[in-house]
Amino acid sequence: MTFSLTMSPSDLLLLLPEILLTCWLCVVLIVDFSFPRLPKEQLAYLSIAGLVGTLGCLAWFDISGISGTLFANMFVVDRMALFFKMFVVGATILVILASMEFVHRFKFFRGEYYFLVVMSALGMMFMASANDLLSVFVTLEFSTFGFYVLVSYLREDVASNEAGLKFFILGVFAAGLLAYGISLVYGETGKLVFSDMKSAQATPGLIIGFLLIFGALGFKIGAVPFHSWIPDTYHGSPTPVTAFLSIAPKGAAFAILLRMFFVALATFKPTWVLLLVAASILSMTYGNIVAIAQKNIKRLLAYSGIAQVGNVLIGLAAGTKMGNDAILFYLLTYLFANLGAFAIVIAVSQAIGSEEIDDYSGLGRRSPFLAFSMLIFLLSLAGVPPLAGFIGKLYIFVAAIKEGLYTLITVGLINIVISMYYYLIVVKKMYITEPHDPSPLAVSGPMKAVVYIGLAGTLIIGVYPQPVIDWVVAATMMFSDLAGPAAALPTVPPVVSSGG
Amino acid sequence: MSGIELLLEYLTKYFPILLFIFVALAFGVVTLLISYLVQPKYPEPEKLSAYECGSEPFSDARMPFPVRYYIFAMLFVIFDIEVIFLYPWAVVFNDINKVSIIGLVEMLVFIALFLVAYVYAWRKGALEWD
Amino acid sequence: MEQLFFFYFAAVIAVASVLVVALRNPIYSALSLLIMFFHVAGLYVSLRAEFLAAVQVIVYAGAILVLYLFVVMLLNLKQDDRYHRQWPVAGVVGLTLAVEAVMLTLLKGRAIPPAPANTNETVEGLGNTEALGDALYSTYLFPFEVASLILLVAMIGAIILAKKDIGGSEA
Repeated sequence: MTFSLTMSPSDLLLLLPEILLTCWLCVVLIVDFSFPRLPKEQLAYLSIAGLVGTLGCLAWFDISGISGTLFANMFVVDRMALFFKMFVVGATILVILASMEFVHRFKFFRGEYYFLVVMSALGMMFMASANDLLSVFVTLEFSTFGFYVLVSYLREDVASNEAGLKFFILGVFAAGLLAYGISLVYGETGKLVFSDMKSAQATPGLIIGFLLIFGALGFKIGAVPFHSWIPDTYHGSPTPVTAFLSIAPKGAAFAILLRMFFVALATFKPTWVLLLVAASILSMTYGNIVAIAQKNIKRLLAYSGIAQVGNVLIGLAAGTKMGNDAILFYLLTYLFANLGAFAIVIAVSQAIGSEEIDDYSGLGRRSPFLAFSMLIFLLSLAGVPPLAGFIGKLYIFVAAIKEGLYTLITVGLINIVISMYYYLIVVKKMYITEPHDPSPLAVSGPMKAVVYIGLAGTLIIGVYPQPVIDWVVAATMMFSDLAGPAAALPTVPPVVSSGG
Repeated sequence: MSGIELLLEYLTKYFPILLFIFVALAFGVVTLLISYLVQPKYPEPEKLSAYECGSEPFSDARMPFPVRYYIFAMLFVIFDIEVIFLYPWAVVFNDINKVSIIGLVEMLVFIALFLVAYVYAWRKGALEWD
Repeated sequence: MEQLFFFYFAAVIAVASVLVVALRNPIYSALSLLIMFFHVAGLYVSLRAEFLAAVQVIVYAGAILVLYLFVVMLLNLKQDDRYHRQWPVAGVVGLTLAVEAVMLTLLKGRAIPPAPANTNETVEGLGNTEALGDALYSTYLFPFEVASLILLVAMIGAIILAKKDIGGSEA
């Protein structure tokens, strides 16, 4: 009677990467429980194979310009979604490589670890395509579910349990806020799809609803008023999970934030810019100042992550196409530098069993490779030329300057100086302080691969950013009608790929 | 709709449920009441003391449960939610079937994914007592 | 008449919710939660969401409450172990919600067009469950399939976190 569903094979093609990965995941799980004696490294390679296949499929979509929408606009495949999907899948591959050694610390369920990591990645791929509030809720919860388990994977470790509990309770609270916000917005407008909300009027219910939704997404990215879970959860989780948590969900959540702010709430831009400016200033300042006092490298990276999100929010506050380009670019540079830094934390922790900054003393002598890579990653995080982080920060600041956000820029520049201080403390420890124990450190093969990939990304994007800039400019073509200069960096002529 | 009409509609629609609630409540109350009324009452201090195989009660009746009860309860919730999705699908299945086979396929996908989880739980021994 | 139903259910929900936190014996708290779940189901019925009411009884009252009781018994909570120093937090959150409720009721109807969309005509003709099924398996197919993935993760996660060990057959 009223039932109608039109779907053709070509529609399903849009879902191909996700369907492939889902089937592959089921295979991984079935292999895991069918062959209990199989070494779990094989499962890691199996998962990576599936992810690489998915990455290839996504790249093919991106190059051949396949795009469209599914399920009455609820699921959208455009170049921005593809960018964030590739971002998430890439991060997942690196995380799996970085965790292959660490997994031996788990007493049980080593195979399921890989399954859950890829499952969360699948959830984040869906998030990148979510174009309505209901899909946002379902996909966000999906990706978070895997993390609830992953964070408390070290069941014998009290810190991991505490981290898991904290993350779970606050995460469920955020989910409650999200559901409440969605119900308010739906009650006021009767719409769920972002693009249908353009004509919505600013009623109190709508404002409160969107504030609640922003709160829940702010929780995901760890922006300041919603950051309280970050330090303990990052500290207590198994380190590869911390690495994963510190990068992939942020990317996926920014995909949703971009769609929400620029599609659904485009008419309220003057209002939400103020909100973002406040969140950005608070995140940068709080993260950087508290990071100075940290003695543990994971906590230091946690607070530095809060500050980095503050930087990304500058781009969002700019509210232009260029600001959005800068967000994508910045996240990509952050992916390489941050995952690289975490890979070294994992490698050092495997070798000496410590995550205290004090124990990094003399790393420059004990393992010149690790110390040098850490130096590069930290300098990139701080934004020193000619590394990728520098271009990322420059891109974001230029986008903000064009919109006249001078206060924000000033605070951002002061914060770069502060962040330089604590990054350099770690560098000083590594190169100047005498080692407690001068024996050299061993690094495993997969870990080296992650560090090399991180180094390559950080250095190549830093020296030759043009292809990546072209890519992100093309990825945000959907925002090309936004006010403001729709160009790339001033020194670089905008080249729009004709593929899309 | 006027108030009385609405009340009548509720009464006709939900009469069985109302009956259930009343019968359930009445059963509990009446059973207690009858046993209270017909019991012989000759209270003595000895008779009023707690009887536990002849010895004095020595600890709280509320003891911690073993964790394995908990895992069954959790799995039950998940199965329960799975079943919830089947109800509306079964109700509209005729409608869907007229349109295309896709209605069947979408539920098969749903169940296939769940079947993987079920076999996993089975193989890992989560459904066994020990 | 409709309002009478609403006020009855709402009042019992409010009282039962307060009892859940105020009662000192956790088992009594769980039981008053059960009363609350049933009255929420009643509220759904008065809103003509029959399917939701049934789900409320089956899932919340039937399954989730059992889980709560297991947790209470598992941890063997004594009456003294509970937290009773959360008044400031409760006050702030409660005040915020109260202000919000007042704002929503007072400012309602000033700027909004009269109740849009969600009073769907098809809902009237069809049964509630049918309308839901039609929507869920066509328009909202995507969240539905994702929900099955969530259940998959939930099941595996539950086993990983709660299972003591696994028969020793792990490599």
